[in-house]
Amino acid sequence: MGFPLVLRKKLDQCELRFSELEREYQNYRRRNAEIKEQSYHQGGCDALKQILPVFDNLQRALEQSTEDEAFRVGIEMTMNTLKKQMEALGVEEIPAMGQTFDPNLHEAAEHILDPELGECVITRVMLTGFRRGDRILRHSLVVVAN
Amino acid sequence: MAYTIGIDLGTTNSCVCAMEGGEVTVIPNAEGGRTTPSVVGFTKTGERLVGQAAKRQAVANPERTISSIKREMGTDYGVKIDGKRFTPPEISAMILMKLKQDAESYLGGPVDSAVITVPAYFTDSQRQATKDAGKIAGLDVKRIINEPTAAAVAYGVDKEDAQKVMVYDLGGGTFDVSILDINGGVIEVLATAGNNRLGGDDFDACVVDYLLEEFKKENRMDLRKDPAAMQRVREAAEKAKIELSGVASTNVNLPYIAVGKDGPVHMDVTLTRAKFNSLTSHLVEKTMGPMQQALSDSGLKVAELSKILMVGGSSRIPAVQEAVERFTGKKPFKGINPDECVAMGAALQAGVLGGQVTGLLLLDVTPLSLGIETLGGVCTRLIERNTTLPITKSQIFSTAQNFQTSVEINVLQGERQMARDNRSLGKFKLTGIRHAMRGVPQIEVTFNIDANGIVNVSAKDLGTGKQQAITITASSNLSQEDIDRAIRDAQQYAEQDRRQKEEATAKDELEQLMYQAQAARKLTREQKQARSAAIRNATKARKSKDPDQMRRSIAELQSLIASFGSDVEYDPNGAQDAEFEEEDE
Repeated sequence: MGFPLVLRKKLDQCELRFSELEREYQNYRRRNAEIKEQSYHQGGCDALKQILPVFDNLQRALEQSTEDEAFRVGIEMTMNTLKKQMEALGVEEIPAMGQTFDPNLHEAAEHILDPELGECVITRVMLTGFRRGDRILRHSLVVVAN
Repeated sequence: MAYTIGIDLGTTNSCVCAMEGGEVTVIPNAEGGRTTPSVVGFTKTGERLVGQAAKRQAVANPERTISSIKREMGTDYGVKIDGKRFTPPEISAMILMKLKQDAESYLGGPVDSAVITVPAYFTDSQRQATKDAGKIAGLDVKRIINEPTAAAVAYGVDKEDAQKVMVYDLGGGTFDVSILDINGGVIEVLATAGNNRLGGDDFDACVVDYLLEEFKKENRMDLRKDPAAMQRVREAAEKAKIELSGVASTNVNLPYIAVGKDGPVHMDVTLTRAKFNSLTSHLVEKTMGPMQQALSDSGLKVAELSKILMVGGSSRIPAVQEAVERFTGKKPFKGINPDECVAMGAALQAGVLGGQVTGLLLLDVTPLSLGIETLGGVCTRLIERNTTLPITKSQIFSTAQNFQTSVEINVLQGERQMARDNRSLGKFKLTGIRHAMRGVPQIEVTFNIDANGIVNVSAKDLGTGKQQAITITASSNLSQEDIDRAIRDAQQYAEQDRRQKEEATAKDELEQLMYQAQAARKLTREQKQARSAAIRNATKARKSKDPDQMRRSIAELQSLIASFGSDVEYDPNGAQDAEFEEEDE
């Protein structure tokens, strides 16, 4: 003798719910393992992103002409220290100048026409881009020709 | 079993959610963002980009980048790319496909259906176009629901006592306000109004102008012509706006923003919340008219509203909240992330349809009035706008001429008095009417709109019993053939994307192995010969761009490197020297 209809229905519902929950649990485990693996790296990346404006401003300072050589050298040394620390943390500059524009690495801020240059060639880097491993900290902000 | 997702397909940004473990989860995109820009770009190499990547190349590729396509839904608008014309549903489908893919990789399983939200004012054809977009993206669109309804569901007001609520939605580029009637788990949109050219971007623009003027006053320099400086000012303005939602004053500090006669010039401007409020008060004021309009359309008094729900990123601005409070006399409800709550509501509705959530029934309204063309080209309305669905309404008409045996029923949608000014949804003829003097035959015209917003119109000659009917379904300007073609194209594109990805991955792997093989030192003569042959094959395979050929070369190089054994050293400076070595041989 089989189950009464009402119990069969209830059992089917429970089985469906069980398989749904099992799938969700497996997915939760997979995602949790991924998060665990990535969170340390991600935390580092988030902190590094906050420091990038300091790099930009030091770079801008170095682009200014000054007669105070000792001051300029001081800034240069500070910049070198920062670069070294960033390098030690696995931060790399994204090559941009003269490269073909790639939206996965670069962000176009301006577009110019120049018959002497090739198509989609980066002619100026407005903001240096950085990556750390497979993660982009910031895309290079660039001017693209043609 | 496949998942059903909830999608807020926005003008500026889109968001996707799903039910997991009985709770709504916001699904981050592949880049980690919780919302995805509704932007599509086609690169010159034929690659299709969606979201952030498309946005990043927009300036360099404006004619091949499409944004705000939602504004064109349901119109004849088309974008021509490389000789192929793309309709708004096809472009929207590309955004939906990206959201679907991101959801699949997050949920770890296939997604086959969705609930998609649309503005409450969307016409029948705009809703149909949204449905078509979903279909093209490979989604079974279970339900199209109104954005304010979804927001109310996310806030959980449907589970409370009967009440009337206002949903104030100020997004990145659009503003909508809706009045909802919630009763016994049923939500009806009583009225809706808005301004589709008003949003957070306008607030940013005001701050940018202020910063530029302040800088000009102090330094007599105009930064508007310097794109690099403008980029920094725009970013700083948006950041300042966001900060001012939490603090009373912020400092905009942009060192080396320009170079003057005496050397570098910096921007250092303090912006208080009071100043920000005065700069943007006209924008906040612009939202008051539609609020009044929606309220009067709903026939309610402001005191009858029991709650005000805030939606859209710009609803975080304190001045906006204060203005809404002044207008309604009630403190606006916050608490749910305003950028995500519409998609969350859509996911909850998907949960209702899938049986994971119980006790919720959503009703829609007709966004525009429906009627037929009558004598003198007049539009006679049968169903007024904002009427709750489903609805059936009939009216008796008669002939205009003596012995007229047929009538043409022109089904119209719109608010204008004359038929020609409204949109014709379709026409049909009722023939075989009994010979009689004008005004004698009794023709009953019936409009029926079901819960999904599908319009059925029938006309019946009560004298003869003859009847004719029409179902208005494909009113998105796309025929079934068009949709089928678009689905095929989309699948082809997906295949193309997959092949491009496969090609890029194989190329990377191949290059890495070529590099590694070339960097090997202290090889025997035979090993060097084997390497030269493998590198030649690999170079050919790389040039061919054929993933299968590249895979074969990868396998060849892998077994070659494995055959070198552990005694072989690898030059840390890599292949450059090794390549010279190759040439020497």
